[in-house]
Amino acid sequence: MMIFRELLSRNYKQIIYLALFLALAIPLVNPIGLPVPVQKTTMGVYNKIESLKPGDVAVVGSNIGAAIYAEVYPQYIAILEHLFRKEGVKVLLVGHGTEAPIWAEKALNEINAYGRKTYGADFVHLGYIAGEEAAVAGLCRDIHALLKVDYKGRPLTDLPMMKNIKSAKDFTIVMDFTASADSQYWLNQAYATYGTAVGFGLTAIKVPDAYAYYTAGQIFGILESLSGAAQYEVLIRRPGMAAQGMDAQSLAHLLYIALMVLCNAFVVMERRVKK
Amino acid sequence: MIDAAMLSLLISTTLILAVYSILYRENPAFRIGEHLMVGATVGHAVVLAVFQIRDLAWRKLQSGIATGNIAGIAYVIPMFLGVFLYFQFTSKFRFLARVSIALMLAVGLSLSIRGLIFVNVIGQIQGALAPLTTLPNIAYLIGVVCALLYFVYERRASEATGPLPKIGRYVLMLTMGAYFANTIMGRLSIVIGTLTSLFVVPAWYLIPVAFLVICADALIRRKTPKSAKAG
Repeated sequence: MMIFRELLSRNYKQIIYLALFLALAIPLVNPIGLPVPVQKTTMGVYNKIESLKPGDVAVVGSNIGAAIYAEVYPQYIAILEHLFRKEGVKVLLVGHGTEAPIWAEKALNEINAYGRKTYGADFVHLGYIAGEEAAVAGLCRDIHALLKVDYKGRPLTDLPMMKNIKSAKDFTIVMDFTASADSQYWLNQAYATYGTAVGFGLTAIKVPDAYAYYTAGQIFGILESLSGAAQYEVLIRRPGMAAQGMDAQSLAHLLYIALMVLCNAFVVMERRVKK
Repeated sequence: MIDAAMLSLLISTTLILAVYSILYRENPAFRIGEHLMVGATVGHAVVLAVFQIRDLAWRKLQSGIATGNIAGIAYVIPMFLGVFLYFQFTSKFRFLARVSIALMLAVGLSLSIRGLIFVNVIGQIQGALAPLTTLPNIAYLIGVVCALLYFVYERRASEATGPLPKIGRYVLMLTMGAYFANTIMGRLSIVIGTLTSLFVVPAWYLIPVAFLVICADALIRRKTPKSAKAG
């Protein structure tokens, strides 16, 4: 017992790290194939995108950076893939973080967007727009007054899709991927002012905040961290990085629970011995 | 033959392993990884910020001057206000920075106040007043009322509400638990994402190399006397 207690103490925390590494690495190398149940919040996003008709405009905002890519990027890929499968749906990509355009371009290349759709007619990438909430407000009020060019410097007037998209009145849905406050900006500026339907793809830590909006019917759905991405990959039948990681996450959670039970059992036993 | 893609994969893998080496102990490899990450992020942000000033203000100012359009020329005002922010570092002209900060705060507040009230107050009250026909709706209403009562500090009022504030405290604890559990899930997702990018050939081969380096360092440190380590 003393050996176990010593191993679980702070002096040997590397043992716990090693156990966690094994719990994560083994299922990644040899997938177990645990089922991925689909949550109501994920279903809300899927149903909303499924209901889009030709000519509808989907705005995809993002604040993806290196710090959150593992959680949010798989969601971003899955949503873009679903949007590009919908015939005639226009996709407008916007970045709220300085790193966001890099990840957006990476995602567009990964799903072969430039090969299967026409840039300017089916989708446009506006790139990073500085100004936080003021930028979102500007986009919602008048895109053409705020921006003259897209991410690669092409004039917006040269892009046929942008002729019919002027303000948030023309947006059918907004899907924002973030770990910060810009999800609130879209709620404040697009949903509250223009009634645009808004959904979120979030990091796990942001999810409890967003549930308040979901239960109040203010957003149509939430993709919750890597598990939300895995659920979406299952729904669109495109297994990717997220679905692959779910076995590892389940096993790591089991390890955490086991460690918590073990440590608490030791504390209880130790108290009894002292008495 | 190593192509650009493979080279970038090897560099990123080396840096990931260097950063994760902090789990073993503080070391120069971790420091290099950390500094490169911060440097690259800041460098990229600075370049983008310069481009933003160019696209959102400078070009509009140039075209305003060329055409005599007042709206275009007016972009000189926000550019000056931006420069004023740097006067924060001088004691003599600090008041100029305050002008810019006050304006930024005022614009931010006025932009968000309408939406915030609609979304966070009116919308949330409407959401809480859902028909009490289902168990989740009933639990939601009880949770909201009890959690709000927990923050009523007036003595007579809290006496009149009986055990409800205590229930509110449990609701808050449950919420904190959800936050904490989600944080763990989020952190694990980051590790999984990183491991997924490590478990590809040839990145995979660097893992045992890193493990051997750590083992060798642990052995050397074990053999080195404590006085030499301190020195």
